[in-house]
Amino acid sequence: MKSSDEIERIVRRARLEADQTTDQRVLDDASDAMKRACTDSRRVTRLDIWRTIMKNKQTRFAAAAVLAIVILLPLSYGATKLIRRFVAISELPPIEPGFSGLGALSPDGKHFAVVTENNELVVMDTATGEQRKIATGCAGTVVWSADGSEIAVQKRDEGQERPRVAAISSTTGQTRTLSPRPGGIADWSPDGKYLLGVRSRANVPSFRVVVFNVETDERIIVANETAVWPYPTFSPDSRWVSYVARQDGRSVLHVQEIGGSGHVSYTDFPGDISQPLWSPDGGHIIFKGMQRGIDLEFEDLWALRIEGDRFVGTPFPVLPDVQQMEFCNWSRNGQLAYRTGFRLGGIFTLPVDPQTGKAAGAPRKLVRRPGLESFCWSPDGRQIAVRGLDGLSFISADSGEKTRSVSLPQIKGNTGYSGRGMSWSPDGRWIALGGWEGGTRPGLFLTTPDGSEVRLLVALEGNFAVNCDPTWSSDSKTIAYGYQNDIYVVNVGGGEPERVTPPSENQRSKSSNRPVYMPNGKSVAYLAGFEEHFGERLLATTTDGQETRQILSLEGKDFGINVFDLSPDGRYVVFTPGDAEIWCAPTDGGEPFKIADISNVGRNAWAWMPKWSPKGDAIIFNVTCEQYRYWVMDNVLPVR
Amino acid sequence: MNVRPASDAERVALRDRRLVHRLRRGDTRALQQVYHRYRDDLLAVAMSLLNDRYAAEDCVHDVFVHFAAEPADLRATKNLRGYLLRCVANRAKNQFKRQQLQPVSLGDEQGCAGDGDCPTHRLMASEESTRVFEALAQLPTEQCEVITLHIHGQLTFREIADQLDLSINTIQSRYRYGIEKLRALL
Repeated sequence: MKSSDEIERIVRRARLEADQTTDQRVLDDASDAMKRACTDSRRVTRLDIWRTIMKNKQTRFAAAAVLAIVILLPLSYGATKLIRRFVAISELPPIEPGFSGLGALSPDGKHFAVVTENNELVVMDTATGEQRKIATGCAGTVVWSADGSEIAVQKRDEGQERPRVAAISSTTGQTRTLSPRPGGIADWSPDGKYLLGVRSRANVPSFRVVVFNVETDERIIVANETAVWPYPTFSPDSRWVSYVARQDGRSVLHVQEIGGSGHVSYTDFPGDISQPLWSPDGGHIIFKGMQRGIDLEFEDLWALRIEGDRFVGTPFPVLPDVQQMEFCNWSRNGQLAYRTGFRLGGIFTLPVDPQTGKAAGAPRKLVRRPGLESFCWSPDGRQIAVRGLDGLSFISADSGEKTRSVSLPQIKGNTGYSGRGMSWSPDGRWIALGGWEGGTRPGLFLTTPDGSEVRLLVALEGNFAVNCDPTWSSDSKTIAYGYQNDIYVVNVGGGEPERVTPPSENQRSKSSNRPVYMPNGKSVAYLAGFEEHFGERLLATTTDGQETRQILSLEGKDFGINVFDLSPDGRYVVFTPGDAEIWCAPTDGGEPFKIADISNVGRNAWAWMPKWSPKGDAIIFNVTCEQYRYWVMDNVLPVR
Repeated sequence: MNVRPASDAERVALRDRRLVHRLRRGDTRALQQVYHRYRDDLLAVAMSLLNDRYAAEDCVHDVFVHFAAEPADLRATKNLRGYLLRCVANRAKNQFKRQQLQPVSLGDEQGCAGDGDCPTHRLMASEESTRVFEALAQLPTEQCEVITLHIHGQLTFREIADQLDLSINTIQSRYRYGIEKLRALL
């Protein structure tokens, strides 16, 4: 047998010799093909060059720099400064599924971490868009360690009731506990020693800024009552914490030394400060500054220079019109990550047949608006009152056009949340809604539709008590509302509230809320459930609490009830399961049927808070649909 | 200042870069140079994988026409030889798979493979070459591909591994097993 070397030599010698005819055929055909291609390619060369340049961040930036140099060099004076001012913005590849959190760019800018709506922690390569799922059961803000090897996030392990704060390896997914305390984190100090958290206190619509020592679990309260969301962050040297508070009607930017007495604050900004972030070199703090104009709000990005424990100079504007931008973090490589969102939702109207409860047409967007603020029909069905942070707006039920607005400073909350649910009395005199008295004490309020009279009907306790979903009886004399997992009724003319729902042995796990007065005025329908069975049943209990009956059960169905309303004659329930669909069901035990689907509004669109019109011929409902895009910005600060 | 003389590989790479540059400008003489420079290797690779002189010729023809028609593809080409060999090998493998799926009768063109007396043949192979190609044809395609890319294509195992997106150990194993089988066949 031959050796391997001999075999190799034999194989190497094996050749085919092409004759001239073959060569000619190949070369003729190839030459023709090349000529055709060259003719075509000249037409697309310019586009091709452009595509190549725009293919990645480096070439884009390089092209921009070349253009800047070519244009600006002849302008000898200030040319260098102008070149350095060039702001480069690039979009990150999309992450599927959608995001639940803001996300954060790694210190080197090469990766972006975010928690998805499925509670998965995903790390994306910012150059290729490649995504890796590295952990499950995560929630809230993500923060990178200074060396980019770990990501801190709130994580709930399978079988565990309480989440913990965990550090997850960005490459292997290996997890270690940073703090056993539950609750989200706002930041992780670059030296790895501290975590920052924001905590709220019972009955106080305000926030604390708390620093946790990772090694000792010791807590340091940096700020006690900020009155607004404080957006705390660590300075790059881990010595300081910046946060925002509202004091004496002013928005104040604070910088507090951790475990020390060093403190500095900036009180002179003529507007509201939010989302402060430290520059990577610790020399500036940027923030969103909102200033009111006449019929207009200006929200710009500002920067304030800081040296040690003192601010230097006054804030200077960096970027205009940043209303739609939410800033994630400013990574060590100098890139500022942020997201912008299309908010495609709004208030929709759906025509229905009052006799059958079925849709009589397609849903129509009445007015576009973000968020989940409450609304209700006027008793005559011609207007819709819409809740905003400052008061009420009234829109036409036909055209969606705004007709007037009413300011309610007496019950304006300062936490950016106005409470869930509102209801207009059938006699037209009052509108019931949740809110904060003087901006601090939660309660159920009544206001006249013109805002001329506002009064506290019931004082409530707890920050979430404002989600009381008030509903009027047909005679306009009593209001039913949800409070601490029970349903209460209260006489508008005076008297103590009385609980309607029967007591339960396991009160903590019981849930009875989102009441709707039955048309007969003698009983209240509400969403009832225990723990995981929440959303399966609608019950109706007489206002004296003596009799309870089931009006709808979805047991065994693959969808539940999120929010519901009754038709004016009480024969039908309209409800949203918490997705893109709207369902209707007879209250006499018939099968539920779908009446609308708003998937076409956009990805992740979901409907909620359906409200049946007083005449029964239409249903209005809210649609939320937010689609986010993530960006990074280089050269954020202008040269001064 | 000491100037290190360019290695053979560097000189070839530089020459190829110039050729690619000319090709992208539509220079047909460059196309002729590329063809004559690599024709024999490409034919050998195609023949090794297909064991059919007509199919091998068509394979090289198709690769060259495609190569000439899409000069944009050449931008990412650092190794022209490797690029062409990979194109020929891929096309030959695909062709081979298609042939396997088709019923073959004695009257088919396949029957002429290796037949030097066929009146329509345009390629001439020596007796030894015919025997080698027939032996290569009996190897599993993966082994044949590695052997022919290494021997005829003069690609290193590392280059083959990169092109086939496989580990270098896998490539070396395939080569070793293939050579062992050829020892028995030749």
